[in-house]
Amino acid sequence: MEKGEPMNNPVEPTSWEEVLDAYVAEAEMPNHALMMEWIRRYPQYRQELVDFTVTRSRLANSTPVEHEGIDEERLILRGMSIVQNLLHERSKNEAAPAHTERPIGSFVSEARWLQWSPDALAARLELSGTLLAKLDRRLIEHLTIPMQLIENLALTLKRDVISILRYLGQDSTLALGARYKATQAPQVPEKMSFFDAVRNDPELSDEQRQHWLALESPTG
Amino acid sequence: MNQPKVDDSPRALTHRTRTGEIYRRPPEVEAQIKELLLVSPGEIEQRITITDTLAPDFVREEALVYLIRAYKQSGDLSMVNSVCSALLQRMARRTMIRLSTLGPDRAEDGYGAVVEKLFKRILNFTSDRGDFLQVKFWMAHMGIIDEVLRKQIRELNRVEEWPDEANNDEGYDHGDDEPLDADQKQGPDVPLETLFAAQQALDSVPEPYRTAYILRRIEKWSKESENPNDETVSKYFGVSGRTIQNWCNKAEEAIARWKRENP
Repeated sequence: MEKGEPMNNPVEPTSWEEVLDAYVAEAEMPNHALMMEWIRRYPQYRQELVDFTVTRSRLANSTPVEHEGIDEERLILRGMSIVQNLLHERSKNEAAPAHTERPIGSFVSEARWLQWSPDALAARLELSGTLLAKLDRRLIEHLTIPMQLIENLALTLKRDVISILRYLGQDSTLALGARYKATQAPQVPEKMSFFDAVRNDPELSDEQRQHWLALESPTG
Repeated sequence: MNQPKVDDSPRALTHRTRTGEIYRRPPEVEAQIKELLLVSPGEIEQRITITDTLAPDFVREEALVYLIRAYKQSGDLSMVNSVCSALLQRMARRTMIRLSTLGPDRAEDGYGAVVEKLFKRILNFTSDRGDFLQVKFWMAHMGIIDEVLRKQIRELNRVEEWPDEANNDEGYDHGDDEPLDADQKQGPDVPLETLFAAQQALDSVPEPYRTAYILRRIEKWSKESENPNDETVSKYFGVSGRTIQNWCNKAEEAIARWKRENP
């Protein structure tokens, strides 16, 4: 482990890797002034920051070399061998996969199986009960659902993301236990956009609504 | 009702910027992820091999990183291998070109180190170390390469590997630094051919003169400073300001020689 253990969810980077990511994200080609500013912020990584900046400067002032002799096939095979070793290493240290092959019946039944009430599940996901029910009945167009919500559903229900997406991508269902008196078969409502559902949900708090609408892409 | 303990995977992006904002994948990456996870493996395998970035079915590298993680978590190792292979295919040449400054043998070693570092981060499910790769893949990839280079170059730059004359503090001193020639400056107004020629000229300069010249004359670092906290060229190399001056002069001589030989 390098200097500074990583925290779970830091705002300020603590390990060199985190500092490096943030430094790279701030400026593709850092100059002396920026480097000095970062050294003041992270004096423990003075040497690394200097070396990294010098390396970038050297590369920026080099002619890129297109080697004719680059054997891409061999490089890919070598890379795959490294990947296989990493996967093997991971599998030795891993517990049993979190997911099961059992198909998802509904999110609410999955939650009950894990001893979560529907209200607790909705609260954990920052949803209203109504919005959770709409998701559960697949009344929401799955391509409009933010990945953050899909991933949190997977995390909470201990399922993999693919299972969650497959469930959400199926046809809509009628409300469980609803009674229909008409002679004709009831129509399943058309799927709606997640963000429209958020906008029109009176049960969501302002904070929750803002949270979800902030994830709406400007292009829809 | 008891709430179950939540395990580490799968998980949303949690890494934050310094200003506290959680990293976000570009919207087109999120859209590609949702679309791809529901299509057949055959279709995914066909789409991930498309390398034309303008093709409508092109899948971005950030989405490939996500797919590797998702398939790993669902236990589909065949798809993990397919997507890893597609990602390697896209990055192999680019990585080697960036590492070429090390020479062929060290570049190959560096390639292995880059692949290991990158995939360790992709397959890390217990922290948010890999989040950046799902947000700005090529920027993160370049950061990993340059970090590998940083270590190797530091090693190569040890004083004992320099030519004997570089350790000689004596020699001539043409006086203080002079401003850059117009064709040595780099900027949007400089024609590409001129820039390319200037870089080739610079490539002809041996180390450590070349790096000293880049830092001093192009990046405008101070030669030396009385402030012990300042980073200067002489401090970087651990030599006197006079030596740095001599190195810059030698670099200029080499550049002038290259220009005479390549009119």
